[in-house]
Amino acid sequence: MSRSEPLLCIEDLVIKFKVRGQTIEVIRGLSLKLYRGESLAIVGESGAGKSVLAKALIGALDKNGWIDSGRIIYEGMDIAKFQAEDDWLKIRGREIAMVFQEPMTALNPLKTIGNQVEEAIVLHEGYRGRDARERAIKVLENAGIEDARKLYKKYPHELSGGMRQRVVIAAALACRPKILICDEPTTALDVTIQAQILKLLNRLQEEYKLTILFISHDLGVVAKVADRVAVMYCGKIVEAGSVKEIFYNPRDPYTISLLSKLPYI
Amino acid sequence: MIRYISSRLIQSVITLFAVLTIVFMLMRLMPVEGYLGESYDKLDEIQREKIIENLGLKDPIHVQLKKFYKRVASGDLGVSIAYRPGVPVAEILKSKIPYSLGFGIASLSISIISGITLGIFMADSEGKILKRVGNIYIILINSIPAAIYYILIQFYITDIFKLPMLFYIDRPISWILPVLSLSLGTTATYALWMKRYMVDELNKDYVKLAMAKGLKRREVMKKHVFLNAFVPMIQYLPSSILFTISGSIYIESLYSIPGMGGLLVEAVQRQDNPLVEAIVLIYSSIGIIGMLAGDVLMAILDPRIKLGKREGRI
Amino acid sequence: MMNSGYSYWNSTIRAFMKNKVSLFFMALMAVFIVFIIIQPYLPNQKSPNVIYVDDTTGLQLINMPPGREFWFGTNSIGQDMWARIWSGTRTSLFIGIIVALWENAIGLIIGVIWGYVRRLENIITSIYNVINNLPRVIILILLAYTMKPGVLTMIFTMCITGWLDTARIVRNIVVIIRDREYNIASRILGTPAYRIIYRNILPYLVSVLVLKATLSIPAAIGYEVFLTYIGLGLPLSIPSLGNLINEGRGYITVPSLRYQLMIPAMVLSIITVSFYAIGNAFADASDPRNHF
Repeated sequence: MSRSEPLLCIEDLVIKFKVRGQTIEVIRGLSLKLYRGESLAIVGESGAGKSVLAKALIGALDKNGWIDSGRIIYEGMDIAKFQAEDDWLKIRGREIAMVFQEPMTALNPLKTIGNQVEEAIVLHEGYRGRDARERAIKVLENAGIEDARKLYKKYPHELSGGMRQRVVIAAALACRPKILICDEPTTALDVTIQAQILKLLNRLQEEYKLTILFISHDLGVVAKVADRVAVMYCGKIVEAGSVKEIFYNPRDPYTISLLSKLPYI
Repeated sequence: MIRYISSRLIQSVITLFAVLTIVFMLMRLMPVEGYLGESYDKLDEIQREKIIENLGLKDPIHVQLKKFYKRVASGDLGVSIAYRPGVPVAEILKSKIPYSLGFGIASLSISIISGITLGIFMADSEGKILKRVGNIYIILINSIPAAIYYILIQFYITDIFKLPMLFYIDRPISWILPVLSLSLGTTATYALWMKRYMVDELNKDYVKLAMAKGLKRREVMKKHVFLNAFVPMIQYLPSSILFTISGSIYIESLYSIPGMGGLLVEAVQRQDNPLVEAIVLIYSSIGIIGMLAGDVLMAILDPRIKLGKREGRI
Repeated sequence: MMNSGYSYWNSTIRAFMKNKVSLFFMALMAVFIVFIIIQPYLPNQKSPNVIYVDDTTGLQLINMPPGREFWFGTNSIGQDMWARIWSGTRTSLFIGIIVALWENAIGLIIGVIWGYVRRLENIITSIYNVINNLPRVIILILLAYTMKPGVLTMIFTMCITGWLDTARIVRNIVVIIRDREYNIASRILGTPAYRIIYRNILPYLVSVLVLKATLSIPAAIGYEVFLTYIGLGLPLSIPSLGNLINEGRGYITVPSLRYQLMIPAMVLSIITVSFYAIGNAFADASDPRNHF
């Protein structure tokens, strides 16, 4: 794990939205560093800018939002300046992939799950036809879906929530990204499945040498998955440090209040 | 899915029977003398009674009903009494149906293709002018009654473009206006809903995921959004068939197209009961088949329907 | 009870007021309706059915273009078009409004029973499926053909076929809300059924019904015009927009007589466009997703 050079560096990012004629600042000068091979969790209350931040990193901001100022440096490029689709196509999937919160809506209900994973493989690895299918099955198996061959032709609504989330993860990994952003991936799942998915993510991180950006409002989940934690409040990062530091020695008043809401610790 | 389709089939057959029965009952409510047509005045009391008896109109209702079902099942739709007295209805219809069918299918195809295309373009945000024009078109066509714009088109457009006002089978140029007029309403419907569905889909998560995977926007539109928006469009097929039927009744008489719609108008005006009966039955059957086709297609294309209810909704 | 400051109706009305176009149409329709109600009582109005005869020649004053004596001209047998148009509009609107009210009333009752009373659900659904397959237009034609022409026949035929849609829409809403958590919670706490319906379901339901009604009126008028065209409309002694348009249709080729078609066509279009615009604006305004 090389710690010297950050893989992704966000500097003073400001993101604004236009809602009903008014302009609101959702991200207000956010700075963050993501190092290669680590698992960084961003925590904060629901409804704040966490998802917005994630979307900004793959250029999926809603139409009424934009990056007002600041930089996002990745591999020498400032992707905050990206406007054209062609630019983003270099990043999406290939470099940065994303796992969404709601597995049901993240998958196309009219296409088989195999098809949706295969799509990513055809796109990024250049395989076609049967080769693509075999690789898709492998990726699905790797994501913990044992009967991948049988389930290949199934539709999303035929699978359970946990399985669907595995499919989404498989599709994301099929792109072989360097960074995997997980936007509250376990929030919609029940607790037992949650644990499985988190274990899966840990394993995959090792196997694929991923750098994970994990977004959650659940500190318990964060404790299981993260190396470092960044606490987000009002569109800014108020404190960042290793899991130990944050949990046992918090310094920022907001972090302290957040931790105090936990039933244990 | 087989179960769903067969239950829908049975439902349609029941409806067909219901239609037959309703048509029969209503027709029998009309004064029996109506069946004598023009010869009413020329005959005396005894002869009239004879004819009425021969037509089976004095038999008890359930006997009549059974005979009616049998008749229709064997294709005998009665004999015209006023339009062309003495001529079997089936024969009259034989020459008319091809026109109506041809027009209906042509018009529906044009509407569906242009409507959906228009809807797709309107959903894809580039091109504000197209959106505005499309919206105005949809609003106008939907709010101004078809009766009125059919008449206006026939009069003014034929004037401006020097097109013929009546339909002639051997002059293709005279086919354009009737087919186009008939298509306008349905095109608007398809454009409106296609645009709405596409916009809805574009906001959904799986589209964002597809783009996050690295697919180009164009490809996402083609492979994901279009199909997902198109499938629910099928539910509008039955109602567009009905709209085309009622529109064709107008248009056929406006342009003197020798089809079933124009025939219906004449049959009503001349009080030709058997003819009216038969045409109503045929149109109803088309409507019922249309609904069946719509539901079956939906079941085939949407995997979610195969296996479960749609949140209890109908 | 907590007062969140959000009132469904206040938001709906506020959203509706913002749409200047629909406000215009609404005002237009309001003025329109008041006018056609008081029109016969205004001074110098003529009767729609009287045939006017020229004093000097004794000939019927047929096909006179709009002028000082007859503001909208006269028709082919010498009747005053102005009076006929407004009389016809009254008739057509009357039919439309009655049909819309009936559709809503019956649709509401049946829809609520259908959605809320679980025992009857299957039976009503099967009946619905069978009736729904019957094409409405065809049934209208059939009924109008077999019944005596008249205003009551018109209303009857449209009412018999029209309630189905409303019932289904109402039923869907009732089912969705019936199964929502806060109703189950309410029920557990002992709130009686009618109060659940009143507080939770009614507001949304009412807005859907109003929407349906605004769109039913032009639809009903449209059907009336259609049936008249086929020959199954009102008798000529009762002027209606359908009748007037049909009468005027024959004169489209004669420029000087075209007014007999154009005027009723314009009136009809204004009515339908207005209701359509109002209905659409109301639909947008009452959609909770559009409330800030």
